[in-house]
Amino acid sequence: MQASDRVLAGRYAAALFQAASAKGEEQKVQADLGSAHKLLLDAMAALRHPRVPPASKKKLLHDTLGTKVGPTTLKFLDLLVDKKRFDLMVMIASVYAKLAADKRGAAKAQVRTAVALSAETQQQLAAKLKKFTGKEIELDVKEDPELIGGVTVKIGDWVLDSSLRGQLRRMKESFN
Amino acid sequence: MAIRPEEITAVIKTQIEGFSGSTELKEEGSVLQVGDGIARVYGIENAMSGELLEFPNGVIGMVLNLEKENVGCVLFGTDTLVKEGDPVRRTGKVAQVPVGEAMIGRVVDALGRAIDGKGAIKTTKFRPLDIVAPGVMERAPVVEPLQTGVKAVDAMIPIGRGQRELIIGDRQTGKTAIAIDTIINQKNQPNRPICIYVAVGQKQSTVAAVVQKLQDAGAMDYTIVVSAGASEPAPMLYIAPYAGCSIGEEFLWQGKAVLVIYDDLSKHAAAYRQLSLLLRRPPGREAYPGDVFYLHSRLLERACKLSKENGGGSLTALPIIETQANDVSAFIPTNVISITDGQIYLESNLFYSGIRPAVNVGLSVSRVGGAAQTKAMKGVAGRLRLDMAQYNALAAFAQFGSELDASSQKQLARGERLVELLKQGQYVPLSIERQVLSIFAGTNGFVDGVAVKDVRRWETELHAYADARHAATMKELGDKKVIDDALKAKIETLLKEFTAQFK
Repeated sequence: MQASDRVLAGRYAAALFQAASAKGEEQKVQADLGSAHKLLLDAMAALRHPRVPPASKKKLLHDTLGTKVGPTTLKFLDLLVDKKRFDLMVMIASVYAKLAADKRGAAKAQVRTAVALSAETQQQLAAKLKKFTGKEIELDVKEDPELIGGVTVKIGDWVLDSSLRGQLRRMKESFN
Repeated sequence: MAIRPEEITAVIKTQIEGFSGSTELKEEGSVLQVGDGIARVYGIENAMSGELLEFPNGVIGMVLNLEKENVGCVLFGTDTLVKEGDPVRRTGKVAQVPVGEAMIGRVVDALGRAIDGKGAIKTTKFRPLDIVAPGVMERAPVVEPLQTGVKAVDAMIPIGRGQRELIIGDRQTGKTAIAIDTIINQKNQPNRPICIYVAVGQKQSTVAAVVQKLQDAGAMDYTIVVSAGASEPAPMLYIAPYAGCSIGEEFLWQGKAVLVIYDDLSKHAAAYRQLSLLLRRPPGREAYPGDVFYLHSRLLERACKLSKENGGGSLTALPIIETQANDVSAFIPTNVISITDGQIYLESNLFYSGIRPAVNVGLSVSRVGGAAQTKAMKGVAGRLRLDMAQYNALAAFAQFGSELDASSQKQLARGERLVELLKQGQYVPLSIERQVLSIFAGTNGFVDGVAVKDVRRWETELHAYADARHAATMKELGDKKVIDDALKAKIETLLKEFTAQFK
């Protein structure tokens, strides 16, 4: 992945987001991008392949997705095929999700815990984070035994680290 | 000192008990690309230019490029320890270097870590690497001399404390020698300057030899060596001069005198060019980036003489530039010449014809040092410059083998002896009174009767004679700073007596 790819993905995502907002379908396009990605998983190799002619790629897109996604999304994917940027699709989807979340005033929090969290604890955590960031928080909780204990939360670039692993690392650094 | 394990255990135990820091909130990004000592990091959108970043495995990086979607930074360590996708944490600190009294006598790397095997440096103070130089109101004019102990320099190209004087010349012309002599000569100076020798991109063996020489001369008691060797990554070479300057500024603001030698800025510019090209900044003349002038001007602008209200400290800078085939019109030499307050120009053909130090008197200047020269030296040296200029003009003419009139012959003879008199061995800096005595003798015709080949022996014996027989006169010459008629008569008697008994 090159640094310039991110810039490109950002531009495509911003354009798509503007087009979708104009029609008032931000949510729908985001959902469509997600489902399109799932449906196209097997076809990705063919869609990215430089020697498959664009016409065939488009036919493949229309046959697979056809009625399952909205016209805006389908047109956008056609454009990606024409511009030979289909390899950026996943990245565009993630940037789009971020744009949409910013617009809604929401943020995604990646939570890693050493042990499973109960639904109640998750709600408390989300409430705390909401107070902290001032945004609606969507939790994405995963277990990670390597943390040994505690929890880490990643929202955007900010990392809140109160795991035992992090504490041990900081203690190790403080000895130098 | 015996180390008792149980004590260490106790110390660690208290540290562990006192350790709190349950939660840490930091901005984190990830490495997109790494190689050639450069890393591009995605995320950390709030990173500042010049900020330090933490990479895994204890590697430290510094932010240089802030771009859309990514941050370009240089690594102060091996880039093989960093991989794509690694987390990168912001520290919130800009690059800084430890400073303080504990640094004196030590050899450190560009980040201020000891590399002389004498253990860690105990200091708690830090200074940022890159600061804005003191402004006009904080400064005072340069008035005190910085004695180099080299006759040719102190007499004709005087350096003042707070000045920036460039030492320029080809390889192997004695640039470093003048710098080292200057450090050694500070040993017995009033308000002794703290010397900082910054070695940029040099062989470790050369640096080791310099340190050894300084140690032998007893100069390490007031000297700090900052070394970024040829084998170190380019970012270390890039920050080394700034580190040296920051270490010096700590003493500057305490009101002390500081002398910083940057050896050499050509390699510094080359290291910066490497970084810039790898960071994809557009190349300009000789492939240097557009801000290579600023690179050196902001460093050398930090040399200054502070006003009384600010403690009156001074930071003198002696940058060194290595030219290729005597070409001073190359990019970096012209830049640094225009930044500094004068230059000492060393020439290889002078060096090989035995004139050492190989200072080209005609091309060397000091734009502010004259105000800082002692009156005694000023009085004798004005004549010297004139005599040398006339000699050089005549010598070129006399090469045609034409017959010369008596006065021209005399001028030639005088010039030959003056050239001989300005020669000086390495590591033997001369005190100011000895220098004045020698030059007084030369410009007042006392050497004219001595054969050219005997001039150096004549001078050595003169100094020994003066110390033995006329110690009072010599002391007066050193203390008084100005030659009045009474003192002049004493010196003339001394010289006459000595010339009479010289064989």
